[in-house]
Amino acid sequence: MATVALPAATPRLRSGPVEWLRSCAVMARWQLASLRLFIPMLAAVEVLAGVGFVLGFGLFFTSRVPATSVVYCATGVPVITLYIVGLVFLPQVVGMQKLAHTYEFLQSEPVPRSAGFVSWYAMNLLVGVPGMVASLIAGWLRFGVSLHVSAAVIPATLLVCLTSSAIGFAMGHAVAVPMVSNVLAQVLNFVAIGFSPIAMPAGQLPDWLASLNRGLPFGSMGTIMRSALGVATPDSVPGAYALLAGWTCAGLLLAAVAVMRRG
Amino acid sequence: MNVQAVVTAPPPRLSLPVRGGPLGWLRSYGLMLRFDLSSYRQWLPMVVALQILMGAAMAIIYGLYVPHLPRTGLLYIVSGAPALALLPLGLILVPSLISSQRTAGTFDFIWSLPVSRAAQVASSLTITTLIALPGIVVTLVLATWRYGVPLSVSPMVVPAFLLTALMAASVGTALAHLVANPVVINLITNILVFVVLLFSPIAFPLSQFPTWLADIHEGLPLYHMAVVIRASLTTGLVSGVATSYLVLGAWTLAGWIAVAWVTGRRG
Repeated sequence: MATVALPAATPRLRSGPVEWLRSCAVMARWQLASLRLFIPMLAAVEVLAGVGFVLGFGLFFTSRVPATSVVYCATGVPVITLYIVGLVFLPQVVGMQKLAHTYEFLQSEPVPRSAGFVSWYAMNLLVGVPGMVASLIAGWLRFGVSLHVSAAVIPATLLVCLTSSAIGFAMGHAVAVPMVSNVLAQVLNFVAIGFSPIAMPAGQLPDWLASLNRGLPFGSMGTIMRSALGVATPDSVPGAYALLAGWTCAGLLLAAVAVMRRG
Repeated sequence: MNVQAVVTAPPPRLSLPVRGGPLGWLRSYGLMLRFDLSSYRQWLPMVVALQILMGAAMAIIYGLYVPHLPRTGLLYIVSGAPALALLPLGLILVPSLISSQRTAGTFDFIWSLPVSRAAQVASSLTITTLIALPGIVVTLVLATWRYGVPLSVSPMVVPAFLLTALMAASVGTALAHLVANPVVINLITNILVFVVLLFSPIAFPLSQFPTWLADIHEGLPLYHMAVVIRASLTTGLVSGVATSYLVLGAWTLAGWIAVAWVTGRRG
């Protein structure tokens, strides 16, 4: 009777920074491939929404648009285009994955769960930045706002996108019912556009709403972007960075608890 | 037992009533109304909540973005609020209700029922029109309370609310039937609602628009919804109400024709 030697199983331990980077790259490729139909459409919608918001803004006013409103519109709309993918689209897609049961499959992949977040973050930047640039150009063309783009625009853009991705990621993973996270995302979007000092000065809000916003991340997103674009802000810029970092950590922590849970 | 007798006995006569004529149609309509009422009942709180969110919140947001509005401007916002609350019904709720029926297979089940499809559509339109009314009223009350401008409500408020709600429901149904892919519907409505709500001549006058955009809005139903509702809530603010009723009627009819064309197809 012939005996066949079995090939020795050499399990490769998948850990260490190199492996983590590899996992991130693999997950980013996965993300790009699974959303390939959505990404161009989403980027186009972002550009249209950003430019549309800037151009439509003037319609609200019977006569000349006040100078303050112009500056806040030109510097606030880019922030809206940046956060919307992370805050609104991300939880919806995670919800869709839960309904379609691809969620469990993705969670079973032999990659660190943090790689999933990094790939999302990369995608959010990819989709959000063109919209941001387009809305900045639209603001400049429509209202002739002279903004001084400084190098701080890079950390500001990265952080706005990171905070919104972390919050969206936490909502998508921690909220069990997809319908609830969907509604929550839409409501947050409404609050951010309509009731927070992103595209309007805090002075135009009722006092209670303005003080509530001091704890929410939206106003700070506007603050760091405005300061990076050379506009004087009434709020402390380092304070705004710190608040956003706090929200990012809280979001990631919540998401980590949700995705690391077993059973 | 005489087996032979059983086998040769004539089969029992099936007495199937013919379900035709206006009476049969009315009976089908009544049955479908009961069916739809019980299936839409669970949606009612969500519909009202979304309408208030879209309508009343939107009305408040305008006031935040544009500080120091004159009284006419406030009146425009308040009297536009009901139309703002109706848009999500036609653009989001009705299409997503129908597309969820499509995904769940309820849609095929309803079509297989032995009632005329016209009765099915009529019943669903009746329910979606009526479902809109509480949300509109609450929105109007909230907006009036926020801005404190007195309205002069005329009896024309009844036809104005009913026609605009019916128009929104009809166009929403047509939209849901014409686009086969629910994901596409979702995407279209998400884009539409943002552009439409914020930058439509509902909460501020059409004269603030560039001419070309104003011309486009003359043919679309949004501006005319705001006109008929505003005419029933204020005096001396709008003119050309008859034209607006005609345009809305035409859009309603167009919605019905589109739905009839889709539902009349077999297979």
